[in-house]
Amino acid sequence: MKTILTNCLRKLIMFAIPGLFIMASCEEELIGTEPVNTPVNNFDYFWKTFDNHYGLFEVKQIDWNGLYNQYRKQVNDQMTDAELYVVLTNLIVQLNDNHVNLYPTNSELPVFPGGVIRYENEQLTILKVQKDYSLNVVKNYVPNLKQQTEFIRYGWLSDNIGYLNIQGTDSQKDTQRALDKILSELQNTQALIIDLRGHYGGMDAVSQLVAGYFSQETKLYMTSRKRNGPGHNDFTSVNEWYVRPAGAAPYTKPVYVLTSRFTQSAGETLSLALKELSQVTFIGDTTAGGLSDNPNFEMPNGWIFSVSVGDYRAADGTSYEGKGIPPDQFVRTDKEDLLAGKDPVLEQGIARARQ
Amino acid sequence: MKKLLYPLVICTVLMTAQAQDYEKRPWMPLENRIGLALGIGTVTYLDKNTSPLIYRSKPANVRLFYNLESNTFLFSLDIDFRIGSNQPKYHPNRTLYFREEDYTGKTEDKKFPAGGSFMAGRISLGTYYKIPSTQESTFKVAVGGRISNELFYPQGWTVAGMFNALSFSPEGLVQHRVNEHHSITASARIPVAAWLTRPPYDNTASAPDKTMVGGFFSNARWVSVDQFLAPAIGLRYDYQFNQRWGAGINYEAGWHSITSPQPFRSLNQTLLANVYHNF
Repeated sequence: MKTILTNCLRKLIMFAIPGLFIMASCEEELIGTEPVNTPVNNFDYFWKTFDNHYGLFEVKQIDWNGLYNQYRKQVNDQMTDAELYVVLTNLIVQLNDNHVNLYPTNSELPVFPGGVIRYENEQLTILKVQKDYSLNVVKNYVPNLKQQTEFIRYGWLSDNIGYLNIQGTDSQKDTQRALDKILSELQNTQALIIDLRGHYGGMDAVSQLVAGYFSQETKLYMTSRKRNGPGHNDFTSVNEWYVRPAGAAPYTKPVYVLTSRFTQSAGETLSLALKELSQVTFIGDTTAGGLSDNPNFEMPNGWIFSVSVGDYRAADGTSYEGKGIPPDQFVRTDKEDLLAGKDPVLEQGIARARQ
Repeated sequence: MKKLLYPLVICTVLMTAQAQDYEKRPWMPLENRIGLALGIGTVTYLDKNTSPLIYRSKPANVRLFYNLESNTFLFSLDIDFRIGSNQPKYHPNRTLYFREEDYTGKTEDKKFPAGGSFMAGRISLGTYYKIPSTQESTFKVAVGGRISNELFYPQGWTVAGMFNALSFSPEGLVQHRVNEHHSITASARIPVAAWLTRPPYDNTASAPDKTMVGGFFSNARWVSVDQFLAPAIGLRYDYQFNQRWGAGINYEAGWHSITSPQPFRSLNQTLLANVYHNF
């Protein structure tokens, strides 16, 4: 009995061990190899990934090959991580793109840009801290603010004005459930303020759904196409995004949408959808200007970076990438206002809603 | 993992005690078999659509299996689930550092591990014809096919390695029955057609009127071995304690090579210990 068991196990091992050994020894052939982790290889990989995937070269009139020639000569294999970081960030600044980020895995090097970037006329500004909006200050005006989901809050302002705050995107099901409830409660308000100033992004299809709760008709609000090949003009066919009536009864009374420099990504695609609706007025500041999807990629040294792979346009063909969507009425809340517990943008929204 | 293996060891010890009751049974009889397998494995992959880095995970494996065997046919249903941490092989402890500041000047430093998790699931249904042989023969051969749905779902800062494949594979089994207690089975299969879903070239899943899951599966398409090559081999040792109970060890290895949108390759090895009940 013991002998048979031993023999069988021996047979199994006779097959399995060589199998394991062959698999392990052939891993390189079966899987492939990583590029050697040198500054030059990292720079080339980084540049090439943008070359193969970035969707806004044409929109932003970027000479990417020219930038390679300009920055490649600043790179050598003796340079430090910090020096490489400087070259890479100087390169991507040229894209003036809020959806392009570099995440070094090195505690001495910060995430870049780590805020809202603008690079125009060779002038770089990065807003690292949001000083034009605070949910805590909003609560001074909406003391009964209720949190319905992770990202959706609502309440009532004075004079029967509703307040809806969206700071991101939940799942479609949660969003639908939340908005069905909230808008049934707010249906008798005389106007509604939708606050997108803390909306940093999420899923565009959820933004599409949200906008539907305020639309009586189906309207084109955005087109998108994404890179599908290494050529700068290799794009998928154009996707058309329509806002469609959603919920039991769309909210068609006056709506005031509050935006800030930090409203970005799916917050901006939601803005594009709401802009198509006749009862909607935008108040606040120009949005960040980063609409495209921006998946993450990795470099041979393990650093992570994101690339805007799409070309997203408003229904009229306008691209707001790098520019942001301007409000109908420009009002800015600043740090001093917030420290004083005031929110001039929200106050303007309330004033307009009372009219 | 050790905790998961304890019940198997206990069952094995208990059933060994019953081995004396074993009665001789016909070779490949009509019987149902249901079992549970637990084990460990490694998954190594390189997904050039997203990353130049080779990822490695050592997931824990759980398998529920059901076999039905008649004099002529064999049927099998396997449900596999694997879960574990997931890191680049040569950059295992990456951390991302963030500094957050609010309008009052309050700052907060945050750091997040850049690694993620690896999950994979597979459900497969196989049907095999047993090539006739004599009762005296200690070798049996069965040929047939397997329909499998396999999902690789690594989660982290990138979508490297993600795919779903509903595939059909011809498969062959060879079983060597040493005696009424011991048998060894080898198997090999290769998918010849698959309904394959990978993230697209742009690595995103967002699309109008679609959830992320819907967006991901909108990239599905039929492929053959020129675009989806996934041979797999298995070697299994079974010890039959008695007519009702048995236990065994499986070693399985598989390789995936997907060519589109850019090359993806993975190598998987799994070692499972199983117990089963015949009825």
